[in-house]
Amino acid sequence: MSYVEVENITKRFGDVTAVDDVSFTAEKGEFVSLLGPSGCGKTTTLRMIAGLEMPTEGTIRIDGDDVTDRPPYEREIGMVFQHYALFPHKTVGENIGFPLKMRGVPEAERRERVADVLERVRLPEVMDRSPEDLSGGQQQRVALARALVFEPDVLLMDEPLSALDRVLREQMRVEVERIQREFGITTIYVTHDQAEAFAMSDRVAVLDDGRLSQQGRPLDIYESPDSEFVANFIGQSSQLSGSVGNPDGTPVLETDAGVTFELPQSVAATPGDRLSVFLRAEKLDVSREPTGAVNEFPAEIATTNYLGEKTQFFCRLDDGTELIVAKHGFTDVESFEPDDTVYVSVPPENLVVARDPGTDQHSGTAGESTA
Amino acid sequence: MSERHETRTEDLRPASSQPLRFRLWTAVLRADPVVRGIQVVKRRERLLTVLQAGLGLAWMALFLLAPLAYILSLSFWQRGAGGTIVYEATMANYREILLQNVDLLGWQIGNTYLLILWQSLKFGILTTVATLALGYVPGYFLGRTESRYRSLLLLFVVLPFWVPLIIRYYAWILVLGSDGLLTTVLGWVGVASNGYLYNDVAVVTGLVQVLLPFMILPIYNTVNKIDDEYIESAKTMGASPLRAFYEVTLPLSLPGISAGSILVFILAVGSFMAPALLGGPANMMVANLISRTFGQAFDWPLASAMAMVYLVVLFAIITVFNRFVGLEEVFDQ
Repeated sequence: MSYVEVENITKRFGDVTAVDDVSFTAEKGEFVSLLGPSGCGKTTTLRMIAGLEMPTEGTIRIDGDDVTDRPPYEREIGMVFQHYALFPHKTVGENIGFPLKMRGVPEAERRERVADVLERVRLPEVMDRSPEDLSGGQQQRVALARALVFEPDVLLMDEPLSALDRVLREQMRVEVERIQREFGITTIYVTHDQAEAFAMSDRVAVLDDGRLSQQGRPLDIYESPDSEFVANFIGQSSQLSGSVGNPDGTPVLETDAGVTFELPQSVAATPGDRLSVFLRAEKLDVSREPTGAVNEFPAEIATTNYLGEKTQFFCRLDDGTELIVAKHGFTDVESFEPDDTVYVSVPPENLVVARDPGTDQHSGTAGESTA
Repeated sequence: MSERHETRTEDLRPASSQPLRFRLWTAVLRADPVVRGIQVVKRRERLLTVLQAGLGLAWMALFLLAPLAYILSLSFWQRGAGGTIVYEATMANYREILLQNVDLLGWQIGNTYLLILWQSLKFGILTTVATLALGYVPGYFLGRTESRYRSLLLLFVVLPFWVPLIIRYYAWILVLGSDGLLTTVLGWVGVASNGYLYNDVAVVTGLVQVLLPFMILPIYNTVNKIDDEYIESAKTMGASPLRAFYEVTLPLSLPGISAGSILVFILAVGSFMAPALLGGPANMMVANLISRTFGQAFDWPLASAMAMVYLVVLFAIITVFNRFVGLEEVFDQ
């Protein structure tokens, strides 16, 4: 039995289904991210765990207790809001002491515990300041301290870093992870930022349009996405669709763009299947001359973008389809001119393969796939 | 749908914090082709600013400071025979309204003016307390509700403004008078009375009814601007709805409470019509006294002195209020 269990929860607002039959779990001490584009239902899911929204259907259990029908103030939940929601009329100390005050902790002990938690988030000596006098990063730490001071069962965070600028965001990412490990608290974290989710999480649940697409370790999600949505949403890749052919014994994918790919052996492909391959930008190779590698094909350079740590090549296939190739630490960028012919290659094992919607075996559509 | 509360904070920011008067002037000046030409040249934009400020100040000087200065000077002159004004400087007017009939050592303040001024302040305080008690709940409800009828309900709050003041007070005469609704209904259950008019309760009742929107609207406005996240975060930290209200919503709505209170207080203290229509001889307020002294007694200098003392007292109260609350919060509404 997992520490946090979200079972088949659905949330409908009138005719709109914001969350549709989502299930996932978090073990004690685990850091789980809910990742997805805006409007995918990740915030609503988090709010249901907090008790701020009541699920239309489904069950939420924390440490074996069914909390589905409990109001937020009867769940032991620490929550960090997107804009921190620090009370402007209370000092930092009163803000952090608030959950303790609600639990009847006497004032002297409150001050002690607040000072202690401020120490642990590395923000001493702000106790008597107003939260409005603090910087964004400091407010973030105060919000975290306030959510942790009463040692809740679960820490919930709703895009807590999105209000910070990029550099600070990356620093806080490390800091949030450090604090989470140090407190050893089970954490559910909502974000639309893949890098954020991957950097901090033990496991990631990807949501799409109210449904759970995939959950697993970041590595599994990146390397073997199990749906077209996840393959497109995670990482930077180009999608090519085609039909499986079998000209000389081994199945290959003949894409509509005219390029034929040898598929990885793990893919069970029957001739006639409609499949898509996703070409991860950083897993493609580009060279001026053919190298004779497997899955090599010519393309034309459309533009190149030198970004410092990497260079992006936007390549055009014969039918106009564009591919993105990214090379890290590439310095010879100036020798590639638009309209130059280059050779792009990708080893079969680096291809991400997904079935096209409608012929998905899991969805059980009988009929056309029997051909 | 799931992201709906994330965008809400942006929607509620006030469009502009500039006073309406300046916005109007800016609009007038910008529409003028000459001014438009000036605007092209950046250096002349400062001229526009000076012009705007200057016009504002001139407006204030002409319509507020000049009449006030005239009243101030009047208060040091004397009443001549038949209500004429004798241009001889004197402190007699002030002496009359502040010191006459007052036995300071025995604490007997038998002075009519001071008694009436005190009565006005008392009515002001009573009205403020009553409107706050009656207005907080509607203001809070209007601020928090997500009902699509909110605009309609807000319309009901301001609807009485469309009815002339005198009619609203007359309506109370129809309720509280000797043949009035209340008197008749209470008569049926055996409470006989000649009506409930011409006393302090009637005056305050009328004032409360007329001034209630001035309390509801600022409270609605502040409560409406309180981000849901504050209340939700209080709940996740263990606060019951009642506790969350007491710890978060109520303190955050204090600016609305003080704005409403100062507005209602000032308007109530200066009320003329409520005591004139609903009050008895003993319920005269300072505006009535000043009006009578100006109009019936034809003693402009004395009335001016009364007006000045009233102004100073009110100003002192507002200053003290400012020390504790901060008027910028009131005008921020």
